[in-house]
Amino acid sequence: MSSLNSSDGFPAIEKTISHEQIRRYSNASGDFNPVHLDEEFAANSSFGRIVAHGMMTLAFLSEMLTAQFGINWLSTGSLKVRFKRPAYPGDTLRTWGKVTDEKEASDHTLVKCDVALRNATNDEDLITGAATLRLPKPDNTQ
Amino acid sequence: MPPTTRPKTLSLGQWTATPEFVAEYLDALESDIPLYSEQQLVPPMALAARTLGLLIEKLGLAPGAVHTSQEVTALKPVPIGRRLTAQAKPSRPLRRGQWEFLSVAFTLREHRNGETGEPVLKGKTTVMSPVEA
Repeated sequence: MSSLNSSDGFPAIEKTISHEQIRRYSNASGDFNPVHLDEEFAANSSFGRIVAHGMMTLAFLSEMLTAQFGINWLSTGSLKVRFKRPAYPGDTLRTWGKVTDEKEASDHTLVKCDVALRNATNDEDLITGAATLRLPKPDNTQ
Repeated sequence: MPPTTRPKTLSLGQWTATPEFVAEYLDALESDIPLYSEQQLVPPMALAARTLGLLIEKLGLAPGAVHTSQEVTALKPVPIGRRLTAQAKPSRPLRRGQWEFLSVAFTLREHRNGETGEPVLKGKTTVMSPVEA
């Protein structure tokens, strides 16, 4: 799954956000903040209109890392990010990530990655941060 | 809940990562990652999302609260159907202008045979909330 080639980016995931998707995410997560659901409230908020949940958009990065690293991401993955800009319904978002460092340990390789979620239309960063995980070394015993 | 009355550690209670919850979450994400269904595992961000939902309810955050940063660390894969228990530890809120910043560390643990077990996920959420004049 992972080529561990630091010159390569990970396969991108692209999603277009909709009001319906935001509603479904509210129901699944239990986050019913009106900035995600109430047009009138959102219009008077600092965002000016309805925005997607940060955790929903962050999940797209986790999906990319799951696609790249498989079960190792679910077992040892760590994400640390900043939400820089909101995502609005109608926005198309694209994930980005690449390996930036690999450190060998006795039984695993510690992999560090830079990750970002970008607006596919204008390439602005919505989320930026770092991901780390441990990849087990192949068992050499016969 | 006003900042001055926030306890040092909050119990967010127990819940089960049911197949229905995982299906609803993956449907909302429009996820096509086969690993979760193939190995019957809960996406770590689904666990974080549900924990955050409980946290928002428990802390009574202002409706206009904005998520500014997030840390999530998966410690072990969680099978679908596993019962979980979550605890959170809010920091002291910091006020800057008309906004209050609050960081909350959380830990999610397995709950098996009536006992709280190993941690499966930990994280830290920072939100800023508008301060009423």
